[in-house]
This record gives sequence, structure tokens and C-alpha cells, in this order.
Amino acid sequence: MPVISDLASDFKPFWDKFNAVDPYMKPEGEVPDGEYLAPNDDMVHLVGVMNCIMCGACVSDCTVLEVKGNFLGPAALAKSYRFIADPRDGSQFERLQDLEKDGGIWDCTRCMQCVEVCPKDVDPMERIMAIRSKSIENKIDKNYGARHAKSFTDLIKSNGILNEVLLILRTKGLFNIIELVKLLPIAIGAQLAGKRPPFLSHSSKNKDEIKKIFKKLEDKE
Amino acid sequence: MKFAFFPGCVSRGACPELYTSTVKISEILGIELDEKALESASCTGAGVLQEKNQLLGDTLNARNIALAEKQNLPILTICSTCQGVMSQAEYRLEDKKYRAEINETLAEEGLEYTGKTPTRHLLWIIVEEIGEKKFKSLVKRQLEGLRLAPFYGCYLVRPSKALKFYEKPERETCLEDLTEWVGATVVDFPGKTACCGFPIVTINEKASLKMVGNHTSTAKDLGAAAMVTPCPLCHLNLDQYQDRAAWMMEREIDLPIIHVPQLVGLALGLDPEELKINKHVISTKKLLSEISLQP
Repeated sequence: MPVISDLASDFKPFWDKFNAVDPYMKPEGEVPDGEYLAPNDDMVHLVGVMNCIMCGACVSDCTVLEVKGNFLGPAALAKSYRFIADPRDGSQFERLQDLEKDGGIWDCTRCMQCVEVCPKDVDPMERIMAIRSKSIENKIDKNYGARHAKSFTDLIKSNGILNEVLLILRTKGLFNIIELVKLLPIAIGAQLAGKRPPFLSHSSKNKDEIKKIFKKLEDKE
Repeated sequence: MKFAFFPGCVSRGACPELYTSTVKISEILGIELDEKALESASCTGAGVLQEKNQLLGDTLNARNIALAEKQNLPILTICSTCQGVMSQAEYRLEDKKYRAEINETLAEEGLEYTGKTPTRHLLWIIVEEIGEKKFKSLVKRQLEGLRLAPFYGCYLVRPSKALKFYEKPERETCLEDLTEWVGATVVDFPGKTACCGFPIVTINEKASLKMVGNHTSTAKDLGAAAMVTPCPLCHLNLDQYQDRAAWMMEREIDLPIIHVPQLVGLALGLDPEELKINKHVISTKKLLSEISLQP
């Protein structure tokens, strides 16, 4: 955030992004006679993220914001998760659709800087990862980020070890000629340096046990 | 010192020079690498798998560690990301209830995770286990005058709780320490603990390239002859995408990115070709001539 003077920074960008995620409840259906009720466990789950004191430390230190000004940033995204995961909110799908766009959840590099500097253990990055997971669950997955996460998981499931060539091809799309052509100079550079990953990667010696674990736990969480 | 060797996917894929140089220096450092112990292991998930399902990721890592524990061996990693992801899993597995839940799955394969022997990166083992005195006694080629910028990789610096920095404060400066032990000069720069941009290179290349360009050009402008990293993923992005980043910034950068075992190997007197230091996209010829080693 821009520095105004010693120990004072301009919070306008922080609040602009915070407001951009509609940081308030949007209930749907009939208005109840009393309060909107939520199961206790759901609210306990949200206590961590509600601990945010909006100090701006995570935004000041975010490594993506240094290079990409339109990234919503950790604080706003954590706040968004607070409503996405609240059973009383009725706009989960619309919120997830908004966060799929450029500047949203898929810009995070998982560098954990926000986790490290947060004085209240809000763990903003984990909230961003949770939104990603919900986004994929809701089939909001026609983007490179979601395709990367899904392809990565599928490759580990089938082979135990990552096949880097297939990961790139599946993320970009086998028929995405423009993107693949853009990658050609990088691939040629790697080939010339003797660093092109093999088309057939190593695999784990016990793929069956790994598949069993996937089968058991894939749908959990 | 015997370890269950966890080479990670990248050292057997896009960074074969990391694998080769690790094996070469281990022989000299007295580190025995058991490659069979983890033949059945899986990828750590690199934080990507954990995006979708943390329990699944932690179970796979607990399984990898349990496979090594079965052989009574601690794991040695050579990748910041592998190390960080495993350290994070170990940290969460300190919770007894969570550990029991995961061990229930592992029991089906006759395995049990105990967490008795924490996983360690080669860089940590050199600094913590071998130590300055013994390491320096093995140095045959002082790299005096060589100016090197350290680049850790996010997963070897954050979250500090999971990486046990409070128990092992030397981990915060281990890369700078090692650089000094080989006689080189540390070029300190603010980006050394920042993100290299690798995780978003296929998702948002422009932002990733800006990170590559910022880090490498800053280090170069401060007089670094090369950058050294314990993370092959950082190496890949900073090396393979550097020319494109330079083109985007409309300037020359030309900063070689070397792996920690390559730096150690040079100091131990190994031939650059044995360390496959020529297998980089950004040429290392100038770097080698600076230390009077013609490529």
C-alpha cells in the first residue's frame, strides 16, 4: 500500500478491494421472523477468518500485489470466504463466479507471505485455497488455474509422480494451438540445454497403493 | 549419515543436473543416499494437490515418511517445495487426532507415521549436521571474489512455524552461511525470500515474468555473478523464463541460476561438467571464467 509518512500508509486500495467482494451477507428466501440461524459448527469454522482486524499487513506484503495491481489480495479474498462458507449467504455461486476472473483467486502464488505476517492467524492463503476448492466443486473450472489443479491431481493419482510435460499440455489444452505455440521457444530452450522433461516420466513403484488412498479420500473435505 | 533420498519429480524431469550434482557431492560429504527406500513414494503434491484436498495431500506425505521410517531412515529432500510441503504435513500431524485418522489409512498398507525423524533439505543437513568446520575442511576450491545472490524459494522460509525456525534459527540464514563457507560473497537483495512466480507461470505468465525480471535484474544490478537456489522450481522459472522476462523489461539480465549442490560441488573441487553446470538455459560460461574454470 502507498506510504503516506512514517507508520502511515494509504488504505484506499485496501478498502476498494475489500468493498469489491461485497463484504456483507446476502441472504436469500423468506425473511425469518427472528434471526437468520446457522449451525454452530459452521460458525466455529468461520471464527478464524472473522478474527481479521483489517490491519493490512497481508496486503502490504503480498508478493503478487507487487507485480499485479488488480489482484484482490489476501484480506479481501479471506473476507469473501467468510461469506462463501456462511450457510446463511445465498450468493455463493455468484461470488465464486466473480472470483474466477482475472485478479481473483487464481492469481495467488501460494507464497504464504500473508500467512506469515498475519498477527491474528487468519491464514488468508488457506482461505483462498478453500475458495479454489469450492470453485472446482461447483464446476467453475474453465480456467487455467482450475485445469492446472485438476490435471496435477489426476497425474499423481494415475502415476504417483508428476509428468511435467502432460501437466503443461493438459493445463493449456491439447488443442489450444496459440498457447502451445507461445510455449515453443521455452520448450526449444529447454531442449537445447538438455533440460526437457521426459515425455514418459518416472512413476512410483507402488501406484496401486496410491490409487487406493485417492479412492478412499478423494471425496473427503 | 544415511538418508532415504527423496529426489522429487523435477530432479528426475526438467532438472536432471540437480540429481546428478546431488549424488556427486553426497559421496564427498559422506552422505549415503538410499534410493530404494522411497521407490514406492508419491509426489508431495507441491501445495497444488493440497488446494483441492489437504487430508489427501497430508496422507500421501505421511505415507512417504512412513516408508522411510520403516527402513529407520530420515528423509533427505533437494527441493524447497518438497521440503516445505512435507514440513507442513509434519506440523499438522503433530495433532494426535489427525495423526490417528491418517494412520488408520496407512495401516491398510502396513505402515505407520510416527514423526520421530523430521524430513530435512540437503541445505539444512549441510549447515546443521555437517557444520561449518567440517564443511570448510572439505573445500578444495575457494570461490573468492564470486558474488552470489541467494534465492530460497517460498517453501523453505514460510510458514516459519512449520519449518521450525524457532528451534533452528540458523535455517533463516543457511543459504547465506553456505555461500560464505565456500568463500563467495553474498549479494543481499530484498527478493531473496519472495516468490519466483513459478506457481502461476501457466496461469498468469505476465505476473510470473515480472517476478522473474524483478528478482534477477535487481540481483544483477547489485553485482551478482549468479543466483543460487535450493529450489528446482525457482531455478526453472528464473532460468528458463529469464530471457522472456528480460525482453518484457526491455533490458539485458543474463544471470545464471545455479543449484545449491552445484555450488557445493564447485567448492569441493568437482569438475563443472560433472555437475552438469552447462545444462542451463542461461549460460554459465562467464560465471565459470570468473572463477578461472573454463567451461
